Amino acid sequence: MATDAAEMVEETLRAVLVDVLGLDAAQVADFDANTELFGAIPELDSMAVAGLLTEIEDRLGIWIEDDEFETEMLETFGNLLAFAKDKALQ
Amino acid sequence: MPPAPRFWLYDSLDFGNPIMSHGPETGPQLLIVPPLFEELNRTRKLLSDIMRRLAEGGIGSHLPDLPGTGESEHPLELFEWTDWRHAVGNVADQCNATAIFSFRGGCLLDEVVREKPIFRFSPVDGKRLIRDLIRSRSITDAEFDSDAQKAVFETGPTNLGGYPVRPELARAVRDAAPATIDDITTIRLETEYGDADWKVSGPALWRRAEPSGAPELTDGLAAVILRQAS
Repeated sequence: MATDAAEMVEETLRAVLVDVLGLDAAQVADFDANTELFGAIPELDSMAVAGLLTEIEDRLGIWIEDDEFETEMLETFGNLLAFAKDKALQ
Repeated sequence: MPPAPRFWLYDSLDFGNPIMSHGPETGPQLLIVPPLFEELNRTRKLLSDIMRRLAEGGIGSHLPDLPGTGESEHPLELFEWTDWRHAVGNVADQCNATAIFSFRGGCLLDEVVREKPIFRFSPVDGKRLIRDLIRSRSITDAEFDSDAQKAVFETGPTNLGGYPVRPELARAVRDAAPATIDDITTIRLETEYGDADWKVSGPALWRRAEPSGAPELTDGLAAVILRQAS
């Protein structure tokens, strides 16, 4: 069950990247833990990042406190996924 | 050649505020209550495309700049939430609005004109809007720490999304939620969460870094309004 839930979080995260940023679905499907996000993807400016986090909160039913938010979590897809899993599956 | 949009000033707070109008001056008149702050910049092209489409369909529409935003000659730090509420009421009278189209943060202001039919697109709570702006700045500005973020609501004015926002305004936005009103048609994106009477396809342009227009979204929104407001 835990694996299913973790897969759901990952699918949601990829879907948000496609829906919010308008990234190509095939491109996002190829993202791995080391894929760089903020600073590497032009679509991901600071407003887009803020929107991305809000959208992740809505879809996963989580609330990210301001003091939990670190810019490091936006550096790679792996970091963002680890954070989202941590929040959603706790 | 299709008719050009008209630029004029509506009176509120004893001075003129910029507004763009499009389409016939008789028949249905739709007042747009625009998205707030940076989201307005990202959706201006979409709004002007929708206005052109409505004009072709026989509906006049009006896109005002709220005091201190857009082309306004006055800085936002002069204004409070109540000034925006007054402006919405004033402009509704001056453009003889028969219906309202409120968009994102604009939905927080539409209760001022609640006696008219309202189309709401992607309504959002004020606390989400203000948090997006604060987060957005904290991502690029290391100095904007938790103390500076608290000061947004206490001391200010704070630069958020290019606007100097007074603490009174920041608090009012934070505490605002779309009002419950009977005659409302709520429209959302297909990918969006929340209740809706209509779903339209297209991107959340207000999230995009370099938004152009979005023909699919223009078509979808114009179709809902033309169907119900004509």
